[in-house]
Amino acid sequence: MIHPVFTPRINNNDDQVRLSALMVQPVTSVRKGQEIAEVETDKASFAVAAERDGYLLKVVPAVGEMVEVGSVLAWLGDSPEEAVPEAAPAGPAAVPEQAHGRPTAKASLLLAELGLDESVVPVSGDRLTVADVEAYAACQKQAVPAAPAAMEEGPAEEGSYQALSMEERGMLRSVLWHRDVAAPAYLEISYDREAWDDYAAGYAQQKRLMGSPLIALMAHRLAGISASHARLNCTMVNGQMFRYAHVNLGLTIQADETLYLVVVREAEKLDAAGFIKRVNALHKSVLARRLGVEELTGASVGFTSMSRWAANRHIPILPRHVSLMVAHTITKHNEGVLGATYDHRLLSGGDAIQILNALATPPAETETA
Amino acid sequence: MNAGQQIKEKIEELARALGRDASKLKSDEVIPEAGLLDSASLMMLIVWYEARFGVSTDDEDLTIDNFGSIDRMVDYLERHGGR
Repeated sequence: MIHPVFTPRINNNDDQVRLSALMVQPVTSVRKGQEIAEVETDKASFAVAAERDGYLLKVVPAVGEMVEVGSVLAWLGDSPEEAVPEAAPAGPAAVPEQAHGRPTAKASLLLAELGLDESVVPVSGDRLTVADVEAYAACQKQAVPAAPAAMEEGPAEEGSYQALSMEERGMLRSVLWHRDVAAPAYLEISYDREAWDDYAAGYAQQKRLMGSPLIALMAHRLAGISASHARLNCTMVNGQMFRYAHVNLGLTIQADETLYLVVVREAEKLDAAGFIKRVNALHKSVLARRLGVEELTGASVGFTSMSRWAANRHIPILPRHVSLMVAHTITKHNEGVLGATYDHRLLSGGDAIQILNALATPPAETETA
Repeated sequence: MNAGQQIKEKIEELARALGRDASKLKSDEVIPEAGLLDSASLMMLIVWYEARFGVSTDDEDLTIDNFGSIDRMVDYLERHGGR
């Protein structure tokens, strides 16, 4: 069976929206809740999610094209072979099914500020509104901050606006989560480079590797530490601790001007060789720009290194629902530094120091076999 | 320009981005040991090599024995039918 995905209304005053990005290309299987496209107006953007499991068969407008609210944006099917109808069905007049219950732009901001998940807030009308969020927060005895700031005015200077790329929007979302939801703190230690450098060099020689596996091996070590730590592989949601079933290790990889956080899923199940193989495959996918959604989302803990640029210190942001992000570097003076931004709602400074101290030492030799 | 010269040119470009000079790199010199490219640059070299010469490399093949020098990269092309 085939199902239309209607174009949602984002702002009351805008009867048209622009298809700004596709997260999934037709024909691809999608899961219920998976973001498939993003639409925007001058004031806000909105991620359109699949309402059911199936296949994205066709996207009607081209990226960048303006679309009427309520018109068919895309077609989903139960199988990849289904034919797409030529005539589009009439969409719901006011609020498309796709948008029903979805938060308004202001409600989204308030949800982010309060660290609330939209799915837990009861909806009183067609859309989840600021009033709904405030009512829920009051019931939960959560302090409601001042109403979200009005739309920021741009500079009164000559210039023009540019649309953000998908990667830039992803970075913006991460930064806002870090600022509005997490309780980030940072600390760092020096570590003795010799032990890790010898370990990585021995590993590379044994496996006849082309490049140094130091960063991948340290990230693999972090995955092992995460699997056994009580609160490291967790995140805080609505005042409750959510424990991930698996360690999904996020690792930053740079491609030209863009920094990607690729995710090695179920990293705790991989030995060092399997982990490096997976990192290499992700690295090649980044450079070829052929990453899937699963490879860019769902990190539970993260690792980044600025040793390439010999930075003295860098304080990473916490990606959404990541409890700790390790920041590795080797300075111009050849000093090894391990820092960490951590979510203080989950981890204390003592926890973070213990984790970094454990990471400062490579695993026993037998673990590389 | 033959394959070896093209590979050399790419290595020089990647090294330049790191502020290093690879112009004196010899074709039989072991690239990782020369200290001209870091791990990220080596991966960029491999991805460029696959696209430029139309070969696909298995992860198991990414060893110093296959890609450790310009000569070895040219040999790999000849063994795997690169264009």
